[in-house]
Amino acid sequence: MPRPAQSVALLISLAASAALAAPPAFTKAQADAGAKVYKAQCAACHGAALNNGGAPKLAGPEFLKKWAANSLDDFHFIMTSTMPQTKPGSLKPAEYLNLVAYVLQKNGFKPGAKPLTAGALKTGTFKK
Amino acid sequence: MKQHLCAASLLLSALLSPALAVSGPSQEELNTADQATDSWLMYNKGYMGQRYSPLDQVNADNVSGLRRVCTFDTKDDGGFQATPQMYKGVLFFTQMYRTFAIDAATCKPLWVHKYKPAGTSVLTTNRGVAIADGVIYRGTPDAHLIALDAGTGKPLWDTKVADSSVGYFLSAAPVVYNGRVYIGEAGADWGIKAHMYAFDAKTGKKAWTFDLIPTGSQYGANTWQKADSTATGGGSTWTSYTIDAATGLLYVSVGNPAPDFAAQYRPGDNLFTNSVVALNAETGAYDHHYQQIRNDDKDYDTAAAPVLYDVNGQKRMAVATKAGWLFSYNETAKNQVFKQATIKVTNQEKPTTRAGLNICPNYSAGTQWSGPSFDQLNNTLVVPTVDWCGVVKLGEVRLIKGQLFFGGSMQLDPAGKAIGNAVAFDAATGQERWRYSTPGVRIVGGVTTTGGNLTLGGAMDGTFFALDSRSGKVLFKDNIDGALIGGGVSTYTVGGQQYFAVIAGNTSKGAVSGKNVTGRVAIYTLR
Repeated sequence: MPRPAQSVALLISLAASAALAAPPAFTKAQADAGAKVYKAQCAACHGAALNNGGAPKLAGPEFLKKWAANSLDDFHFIMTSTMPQTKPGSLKPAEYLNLVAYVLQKNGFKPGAKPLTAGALKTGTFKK
Repeated sequence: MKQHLCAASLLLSALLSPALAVSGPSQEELNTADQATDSWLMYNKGYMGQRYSPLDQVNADNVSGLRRVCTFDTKDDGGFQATPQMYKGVLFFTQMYRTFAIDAATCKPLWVHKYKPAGTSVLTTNRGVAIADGVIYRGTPDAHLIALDAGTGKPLWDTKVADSSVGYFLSAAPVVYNGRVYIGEAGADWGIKAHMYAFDAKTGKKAWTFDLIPTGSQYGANTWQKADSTATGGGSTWTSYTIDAATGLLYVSVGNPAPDFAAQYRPGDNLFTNSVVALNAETGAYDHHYQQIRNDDKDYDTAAAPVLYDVNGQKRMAVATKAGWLFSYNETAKNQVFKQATIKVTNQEKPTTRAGLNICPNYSAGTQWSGPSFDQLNNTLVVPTVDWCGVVKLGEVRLIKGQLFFGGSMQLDPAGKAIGNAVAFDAATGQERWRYSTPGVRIVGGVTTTGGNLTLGGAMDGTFFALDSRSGKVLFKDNIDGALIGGGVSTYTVGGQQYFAVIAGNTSKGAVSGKNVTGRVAIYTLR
């Protein structure tokens, strides 16, 4: 029957939204390591400030608005499947995670004691 | 050559000189643009898209005396892939959000218009303008079509064409014909569903729409076996358009389907992707088409506009593709005459796999946004094309609004392995006549041929070159300040003297290492 199924689906969706609201955890060490990878692999196109290189902006209100409806996993998916431009997917899994941590930090999120893990990407967002 | 740089202060919508009064070009001037010597009216010069000028004042015997007379610096890096378009001594060109008018002999800036986008954009590349009856028309990175006064740059109208937040944008140089402006969308790789449009040139009101991804009862809808996949079917129009003024047909090159690499997501031939489709320019009705690749899974767009030409009275249409092929079709019999590889082509027929498939070319090679020039003097098609291989991999299909919708990935061989080429093929048979190659340096910008037996183009190290159209021998070279050339060369006369204008400074930063040089237009003449 379609109606109960739709109700269940709606509940799941609401529960997911609540879970997505949790601020993403990452460490300063991850963000620092991400900054090094960023400088070597990303800055030429995305700019030193993450939003001044001509390529899509990775920091600032426009970036946060664009990604507001998506999980960190979506962001991570796009990054790993399209970047670096000439060798997508060629960085190590930890390097991609560190890049997410660096982008979070540059968008005003605070590092903490708990590291960002691959498993946490699905529930994390850029929503403030 | 730095002393020649114009110290222009590029203000928003700034009129930098006394206002010009521009009233043309008329429809009659547009109809004869392919053969004109005192103008370069369209991205590919005229409706037939031949990129050929009968001018022979500068020729194979004296081209070594060419000198740069001035350089206009846009002070901006990023995509710069236009060809300078000239009318009544003024060059018009676009770079991202800005439209420029400069003196075609001195580089003196006349006006600049900076478009303020209303929405986001996934790619800011723009290839140029259409000009008619004193008005400049261009698409914008946020999928608007705008009209500007050609004399002052003052905005006249602004029509929103599509929703840029889902990946639509307008990168093509529009074409004006009989009071209509023709343009279609780009953005297939972001999962759009593209269209071709005609707009009223005076008002910006839409006259007709043609769905490049057909659905329902439209012709070609049965080539999408999973109807749902048409919602993100792709099919960009990237560069510009070609018109046969004798028949009133509009020729549109249509790019790859989406998701780019996951063909199993969209079984069927996927019309009109990877095709040239001919439409009735007046009504937008389908006339005929030729598909170069069915159910493409390697992002091998038919991107560059086609060229129309005659072979002993037989009407031909030729198009070069990102897959590295040059096609010629008989437009009377409506059949393919030849299909000629322009570079090394490997594993194109094999399906993309999760493990990865070595292919040649990669999706950044072959013939990109600049198509063949038809050399009327030597009956050749001269094609810019890049030899460069890579690995294509199938991956997850995940649609995220406004993000690349690849369903896989493409890894490119090191840029140093790329070989740029300008290759001349017999226009009747497709047989190769000569090849000019630049190992390690790509040639992607627009090539131009002239009645002076010259083939002119640029390479991605900043080199502007002139070749002998009979042999491919280099006759002249000049490096434009190391600014990577991704734009085209135009030629025209001002006051009876022949000039060449070259667009340099296209930066594809991810694929080219090194210092970014800002965009510039360099003008050359005999001195």
